[in-house]
Amino acid sequence: MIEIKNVSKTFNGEIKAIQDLSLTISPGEIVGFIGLNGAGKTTLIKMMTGILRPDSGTITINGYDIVKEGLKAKQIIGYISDSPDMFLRLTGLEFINFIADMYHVSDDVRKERIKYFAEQFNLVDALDKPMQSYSHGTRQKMMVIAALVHNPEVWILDEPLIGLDPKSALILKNMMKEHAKEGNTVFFSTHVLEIAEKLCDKVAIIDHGKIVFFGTLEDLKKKYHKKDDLEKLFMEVIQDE
Amino acid sequence: MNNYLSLTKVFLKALSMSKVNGKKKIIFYFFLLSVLFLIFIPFILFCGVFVYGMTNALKEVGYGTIGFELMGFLISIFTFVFSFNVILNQLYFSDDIECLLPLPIKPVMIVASKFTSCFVAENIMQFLLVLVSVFGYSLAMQLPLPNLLFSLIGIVTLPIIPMVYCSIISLFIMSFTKFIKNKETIRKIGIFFVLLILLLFGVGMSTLQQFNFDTYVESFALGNHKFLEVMRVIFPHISLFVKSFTNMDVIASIEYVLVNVVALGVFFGLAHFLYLDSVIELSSKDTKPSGDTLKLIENSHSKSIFTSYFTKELKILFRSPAFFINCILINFIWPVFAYVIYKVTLSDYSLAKMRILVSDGNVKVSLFILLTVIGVSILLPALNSIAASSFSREGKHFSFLKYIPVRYRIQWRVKVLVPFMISFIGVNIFTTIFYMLLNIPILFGIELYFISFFCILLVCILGVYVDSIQPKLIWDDEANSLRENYNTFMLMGFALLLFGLLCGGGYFLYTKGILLSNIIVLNIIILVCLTLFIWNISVVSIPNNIIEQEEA
Ligand SMILES: Nc1ncnc2c1ncn2[C@@H]1O[C@H](COP(=O)(O)OP(=O)(O)O)[C@@H](O)[C@H]1O
Ligand SMILES: [Mg+2]
Repeated sequence: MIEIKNVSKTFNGEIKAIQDLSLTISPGEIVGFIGLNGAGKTTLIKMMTGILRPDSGTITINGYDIVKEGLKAKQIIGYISDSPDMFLRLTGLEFINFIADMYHVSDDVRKERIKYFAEQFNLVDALDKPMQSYSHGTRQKMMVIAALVHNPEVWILDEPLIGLDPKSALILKNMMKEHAKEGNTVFFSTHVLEIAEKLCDKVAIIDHGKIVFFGTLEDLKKKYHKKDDLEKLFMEVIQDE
Repeated sequence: MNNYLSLTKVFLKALSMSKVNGKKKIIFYFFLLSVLFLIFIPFILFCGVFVYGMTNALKEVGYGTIGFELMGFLISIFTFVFSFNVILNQLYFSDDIECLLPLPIKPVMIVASKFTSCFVAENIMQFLLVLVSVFGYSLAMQLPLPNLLFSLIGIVTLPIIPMVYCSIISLFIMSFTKFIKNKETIRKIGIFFVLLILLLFGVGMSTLQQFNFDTYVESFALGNHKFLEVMRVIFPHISLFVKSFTNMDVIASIEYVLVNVVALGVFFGLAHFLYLDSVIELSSKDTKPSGDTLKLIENSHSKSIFTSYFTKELKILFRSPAFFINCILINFIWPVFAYVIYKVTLSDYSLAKMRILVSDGNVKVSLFILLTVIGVSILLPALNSIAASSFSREGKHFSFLKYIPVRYRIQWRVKVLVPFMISFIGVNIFTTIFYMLLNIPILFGIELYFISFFCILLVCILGVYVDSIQPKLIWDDEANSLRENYNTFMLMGFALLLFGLLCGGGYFLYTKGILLSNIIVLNIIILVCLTLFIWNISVVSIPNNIIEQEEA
């Protein structure tokens, strides 16, 4: 459960990245967060994960306020940032173990989860090499494992499918579905409409820092009397505002 | 030519500093920079005065150019030592290489623009030093204004030759290590090379008995020029430069230009044949063979947040060649410099003699030891720049600190502990040997450790604090997170002030007849108070600075 209430964020006193935005994401839902480049997706996600402070408004994660009870909220978030090349001097395994330490993951759980993910993503051989030597896609997979190694309840993923090969993308999508089915929350941003169409229970469309539509795809189609072409639909929603 | 210019521009941008924003920060930086200037300007002026004095003293005996030449050689050596790492990195290990290789640009173009960007970015300090030296020299020789115009080319181009040396050596190292499969090993060879040069330099300097400050003028006047003769061969441009503007000598000027052109020509010629091959070889190299990974996973163990975070910081410092050279090695080679200084200034105090003096309870020697320990303990943690780059090293992943569920309090304390530990070990391995060699009384030894502890702690907290205000987060090469980081300079400025306060103050009190034990107590009191003061500021400010940081 993610509750965003009247959140605004301005950069350098002039760029209004997010304007009075409210959004509630219920447990058991996969929500796709769609918008053009620069619409404000990353900014909102950074506020949800505690990286940026909202100028006004509140964000709670499963009831914990991200500003006031930051540690508790962060402990239950699994976050994938939009750029995967961090800690390149560590080997993949060292990196995952380091992250697992940060989230207090016990020995047994981490071994099992690392093995599971590494096999799923075909990473076993890469794990003991420095991440510097990884391709972009492998680094991205490593970010997925790092984000999920502590089995977080709420997933907040910024463009998680970029750079993944089709097979790994499919695996991640299935994981997202399963996680939501177990009653958890999955929130991910994308600018690829097809992904949103196939995967999401609901979509939130953001434009110039404001939510211009939030609901199921069915609702969206009904509202705009368009049956099939998601692209045209999307453009219409944005221009409507 | 167009390619060359635009490439140079791009490289320079990557090398240049990030913008400062926010009113509060601008004021803060203005303040800090002025402190810095107050320290560097006297140093630069001192160099000018040195040249002036020496020229004045020696021109009667017909050796008027020696003062300037000496300074020119020192600047060249300084340039060589400090540029080597920069050039090796820029030519072979910067991230842009893989993007450049596929472009239809001649490799010589790439090399030339990389060289130019290093040359422009690295030489502000050298430029100022050459400038004041020329002034000092011209004043002493009473040269008229037109001669100064003649010196302009030299002022701007003086560091070319030492930097060409760095580049040629880099080219050779990289070509002769082609057979080595592991990229990291090659970098380590580069590091080893720098060390070797430093050692040679150190040993060379220490054999220069005539460099003793009391006798140097005399010995030069007597024609003892061994050092100069060697240097004139290695850096021929310096003598030509002096000649050209002293007498407005057109032939010498042409020779000066020719020497530089030839050096650059040799460098570019070699680059034409060697660069591309070795770079391609390098980018196709794997870093490490793979082992049995499943077993490794089975061996994963959980650690406490503190230990895990701490080990991570150490791993990055030790594994990244840029950090290893600049932050780690320096802690273990400072005795070379200390030895040189000792040789140059105190060569008539042998170890055996000092030992006797210590056992006799000679106050002067004890004071000397105390001030040395304070000096090293203050300057080393600033010089190794670990503390002042604590946050800058995170780079564009600074936000990592904020989304993990770890208190900022823990994170910044780890970041203080890392430089503290490394510096403390670096300082006190050697001082311990020194204490044992000199048979220092135990109580005095304990006092020295105590003082060293607080000096290092103070500078480390200060460094982490300074770097939390405006870390340099936008960099694409690890070396740039140190070199283009104002904060390392700023910490050095503070450290020099502190050094002046404690060592200068200590010496002053000694000359006023204050007891050594009282000086020690006073030092300890000042250090503890300052440490507590900075600690208290940090407890509140560092977490706030982390929260307010929105650049990455
Ligand atoms: N740190 C920052 N400083 C200044 N402006 C920023 C910063 N981060 C984002 N912005 C601006 O905020 C707007 C939204 O950016 P972002 O959230 O990254 O968009 P998206 O992720 O949807 O592509 C853009 O106009 C961007 O330029
Ligand atoms: Mg984005």
